[in-house]
Amino acid sequence: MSKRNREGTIGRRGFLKGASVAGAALGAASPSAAQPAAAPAAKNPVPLPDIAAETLPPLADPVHQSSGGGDFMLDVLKTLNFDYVTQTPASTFRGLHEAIINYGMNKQPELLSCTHEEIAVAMAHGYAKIEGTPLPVMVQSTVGLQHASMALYNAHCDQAPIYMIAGNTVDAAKRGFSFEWAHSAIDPAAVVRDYVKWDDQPGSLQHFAESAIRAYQIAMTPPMAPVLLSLDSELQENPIANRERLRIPRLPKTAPPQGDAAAVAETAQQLVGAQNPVIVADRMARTPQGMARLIELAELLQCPVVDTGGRSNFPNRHHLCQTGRSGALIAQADLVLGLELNDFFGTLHAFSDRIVRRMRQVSRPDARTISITARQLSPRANFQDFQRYQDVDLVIAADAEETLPSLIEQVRRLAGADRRSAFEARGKKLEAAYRAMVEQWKSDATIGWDASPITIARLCAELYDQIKDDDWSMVGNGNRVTWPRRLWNFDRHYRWIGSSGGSGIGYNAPASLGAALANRKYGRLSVAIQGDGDLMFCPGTLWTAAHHQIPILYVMHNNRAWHQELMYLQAMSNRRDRGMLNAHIGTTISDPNIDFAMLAKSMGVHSEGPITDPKDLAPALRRALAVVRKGQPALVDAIVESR
Amino acid sequence: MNGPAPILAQTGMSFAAFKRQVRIPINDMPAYSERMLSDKELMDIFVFVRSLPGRRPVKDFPILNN
Ligand code: HEM
Ligand SMILES: Cc1ncc(C[n+]2csc(CCOP(=O)(O)OP(=O)(O)O)c2C)c(N)n1
Ligand SMILES: [Mg+2]
Repeated sequence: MSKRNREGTIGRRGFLKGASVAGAALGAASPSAAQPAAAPAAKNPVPLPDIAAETLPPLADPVHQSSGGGDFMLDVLKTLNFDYVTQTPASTFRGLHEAIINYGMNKQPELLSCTHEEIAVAMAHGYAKIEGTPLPVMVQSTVGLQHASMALYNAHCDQAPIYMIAGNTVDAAKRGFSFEWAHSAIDPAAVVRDYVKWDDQPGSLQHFAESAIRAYQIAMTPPMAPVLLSLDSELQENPIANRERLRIPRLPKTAPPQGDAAAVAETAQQLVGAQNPVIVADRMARTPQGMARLIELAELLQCPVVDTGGRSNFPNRHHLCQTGRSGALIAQADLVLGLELNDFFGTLHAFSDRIVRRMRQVSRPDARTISITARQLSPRANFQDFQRYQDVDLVIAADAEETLPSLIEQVRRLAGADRRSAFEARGKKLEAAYRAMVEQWKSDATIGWDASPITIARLCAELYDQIKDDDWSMVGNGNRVTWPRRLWNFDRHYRWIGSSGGSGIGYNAPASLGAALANRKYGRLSVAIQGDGDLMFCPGTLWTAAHHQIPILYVMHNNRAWHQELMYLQAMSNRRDRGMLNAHIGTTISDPNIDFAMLAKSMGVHSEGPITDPKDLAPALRRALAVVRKGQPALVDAIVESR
Repeated sequence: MNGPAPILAQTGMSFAAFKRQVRIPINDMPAYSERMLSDKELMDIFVFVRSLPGRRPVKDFPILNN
């Protein structure tokens, strides 16, 4: 007997342990019985590369089995403490799906149902930004993964961890006819590899265990990003031959990369010495600590902070939050410090979208520039979300949040009494400018107060009036309307989670829901401002909200258009001197108008609208919020000014 | 084109300045030629935006002071 066959026999015995072979003709060896199973540990300690090495297909025709590879996979996933797994069902991961709901009794992780893979991924994206940890997302490897790809791209651009699991049937001889072939690929990850940080297609359960832990570790090490495991259906479905020999590795504690000590000291020196420094924070605050640290640094220096809103980096009611004055501040800055700032070039330049496209530097030519970002550590070539090259003076390739404590320490050490009094004077000036800016905003908000369509300012003021005493979290703001930032008090890290990352529309509704899911266990009130165009990409999100009873209030910013695109068409038409009368063609969502209240109702979501008179807004919001506070989703459709 | 455009209700601009911005705009606002928008139509718009209710005292809106 050859070695292969001997191992095959061992494996077969293992299989017989795992399967109750009802009515099987034991002698009839199937062709696959000759496949090698895992060798005894002493002979071959390295996991075998063969697909489904530890599992075997039925020899004859058994109808029951007492274990499945999916059970072991779940054992592994459980060590990663996932609360939920999102998915749109598909046969290629039925082995794992069944293990989750029966073997795992649908607890930690609990399975959540989504009507589109884009929803499943975007929910995980929003969830990760509140909770700080990824969710597994199960999709079918070809068709499901392609649906998921847009949402994965957003997560990649947004430095958010996603734990993708794609089912696949690797062994062509095992594929059923027709769709199982269409749903298999030799390298499923290829379609998304440009924006997935790491992927694998494990060849055995031991291989799975190691790759599952490795994937988590890679996803969670800044710059955080999606990872993907392609799981062979045979590996998930077949009985486990050798459970006692399988080992689940430990997840190590990983420390995010910190800035080089000398470079941090140089940065501190520059900050202390500068007359007009500006800190620009983008995706800096990964955790609640990020905001606290930035407050400490900014206060120490009395340095203005421009928070581009990639995360909740800085409280907007702090006098050093000077986002609204960024143009003036950048123009006079002698030092610009970027913290996880992806678009440094765009921060220092103005762009004119004219016939001749122009970039103009708006910062001082002699301004010093320093960038602290982990993004440097995981560059990608194809998709161009890394923005135009900016020649900064010092790049610290490290996680900004993690680097702040040592930077603060250095600044504290270097700031002598004379500099501290200069800082104080600077702070006073900034405070006066801040107060004037806020008064101006409030005054601006009164314009068009009673108008219909409702002004965005009024919509935001009415909404905030009713949530300000709750522990609220603004989980979505599809069109990035600026009024909340002007009128609301964003004083905690979960008040705002940043936008899509890749500007891929279809993010806002499902990502908001994922964030609301994470907020649910903390009893927070989640609200999202929701574009009509965005909602129509993934309207099924509303069903998931109702089905899983996720409390969230969607307030529609319904302008009955893809208004952003309408504006581009207006610009094109005028550029060609043809007038704007046709610019609505292909850019508006009317005729018929969508009844979003009816849409929501059809999926079990409380809804009101369309509301056109601003006076009707407050009562509708009150009723909807009562529903949300009881733990259910609600939607208020408001007809609002375009932008 | 993505940034908020300035408020025109009760604008204090002269018609000449208003017209200049519309015919040869600064930055990203689309330019309107006379062919597409006559001076007469522009004047109508000017009169209209000036007639719109402008700012009101913030103190009259308690919900703006939350
Ligand atoms: C007949 C229609 C329009 C009129 C009468 C008009 C009028 C004006 C005026 C008078 C200003 C200057 C305001 C000031 O400096 O205080 C302005 C600025 C602006 N408008 Fe328009 N506008 C029109 C259409 C548009 C459209 C269709 C867009 C965008 C798609 C637009 C975008 C802007 C922007 C972005 C600015 C600010 C320019 C800057 O300072 O960077 N406008 N508009
Ligand atoms: C996946 C995808 N498709 C198309 C676009 C182009 N796009 C940018 S904004 C926008 C309109 C979004 O509509 P809505 O959410 O209603 O916001 P509005 O522009 O009306 O304020 C579109 C289609 C995109 N960014 N992403
Ligand atoms: Mg819209």
